[in-house]
Amino acid sequence: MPRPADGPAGACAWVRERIDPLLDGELAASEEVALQDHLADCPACRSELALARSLQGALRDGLPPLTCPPEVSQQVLAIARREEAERARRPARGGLGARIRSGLADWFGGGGLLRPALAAVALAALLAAPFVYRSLLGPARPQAPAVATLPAAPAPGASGAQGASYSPEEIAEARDQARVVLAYVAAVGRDAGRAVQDDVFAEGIVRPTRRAVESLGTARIAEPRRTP
Amino acid sequence: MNPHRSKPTHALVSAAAAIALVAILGVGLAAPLAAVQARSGPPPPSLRKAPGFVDFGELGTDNELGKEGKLTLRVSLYGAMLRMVAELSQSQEPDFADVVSKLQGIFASIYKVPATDQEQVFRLARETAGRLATRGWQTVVELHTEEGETSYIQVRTDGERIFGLAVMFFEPDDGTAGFINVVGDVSPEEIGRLGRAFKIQALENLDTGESAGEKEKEKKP
Repeated sequence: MPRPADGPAGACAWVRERIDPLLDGELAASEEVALQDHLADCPACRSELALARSLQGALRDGLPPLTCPPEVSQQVLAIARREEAERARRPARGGLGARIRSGLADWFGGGGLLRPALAAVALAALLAAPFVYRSLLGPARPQAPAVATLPAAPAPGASGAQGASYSPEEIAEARDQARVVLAYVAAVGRDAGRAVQDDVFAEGIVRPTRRAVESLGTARIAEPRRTP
Repeated sequence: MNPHRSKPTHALVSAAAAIALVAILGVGLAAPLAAVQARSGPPPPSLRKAPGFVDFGELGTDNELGKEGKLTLRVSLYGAMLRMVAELSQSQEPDFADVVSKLQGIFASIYKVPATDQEQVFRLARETAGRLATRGWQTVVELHTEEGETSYIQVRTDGERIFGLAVMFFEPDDGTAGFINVVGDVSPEEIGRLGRAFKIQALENLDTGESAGEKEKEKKP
């Protein structure tokens, strides 16, 4: 969320990153409230929003509706059935770890060099895990006093004793743990989402449609060549 | 749950689930983990009464796996410590601080489970998900693969707000089983976005985490 500490430029950047999600109805309610608050005071961002809105409207209204030719529908269905049959014969995907590593390979732009690199990282980290895990998990620690004391005002929904004291090391450790757990949650969610995407959307809709359209396009392109 | 069922993949996604899923999907991250030095402590009664709290111990999950599996990470963050984490992350990691400041608790138990005990994990996860469902938790994701990968994501919600998130998973590649409960105003999309930011560092630990130990340290708020 935009914060005073970010300054006007930081808040504007935050808002502009979220204009498209706002128009697509994908913005979280809490973020939308913050965004609208900012827009009320920022003519420049209002202008950006108006521009994005007009572009979206122009695209939506300016493009003609497309109807799906019957031959495309038939091909889509035929390819979907064939793909489903092929998929049933294929071995299942790798597990969470495999898919995560595969995703990392994509991140680096290919797995050729990644595997030995990962092995080296794994070995190094294995030897030095107790010393390096914090640095792997996060950026530099906040500048905390020698003993941090809980602020007087409790955070919303929080519970626990007031005035508790922790060392910076304890707080840093707790923060790393929170990051690790949230990362786990995100990983599981992403993996499940990807499975649904793979099985339902990509395999059942996108790929058959693409192939049908491609084969249709090829046929149409080929016709003139056969005609003298 | 049979990991070698004939159906390659089964994904059950309810309507509400699709929303949460897409939110998570859109963001996503790579994966975590590491065994880290653990902090644990029993949550206070006020937190145990929160609608989004899951007592995996009471459900038997923790005890059973604690006997059979090797605990590699236990996290129990709540109250003052959680607020402190949010406060002190505010300047450098505002998004992370935002998420944490809305939470009441973060609890996790991660185990390394030997192959011989994997069936037990499937059973525990299934039974726990079933018990949570009878207590008003909504299953948004249930995923099983032929290889034995299993995950459940359940939310406790009143239809508008989310009070808590329960995540159970088993990763057969390295035998990692996890039972996670995040209590509070959970935003799946924010967690997903954060997870993406944690990506590679956490992933490196995923491959090496078992060495970091199972040291538990109690720190009550």
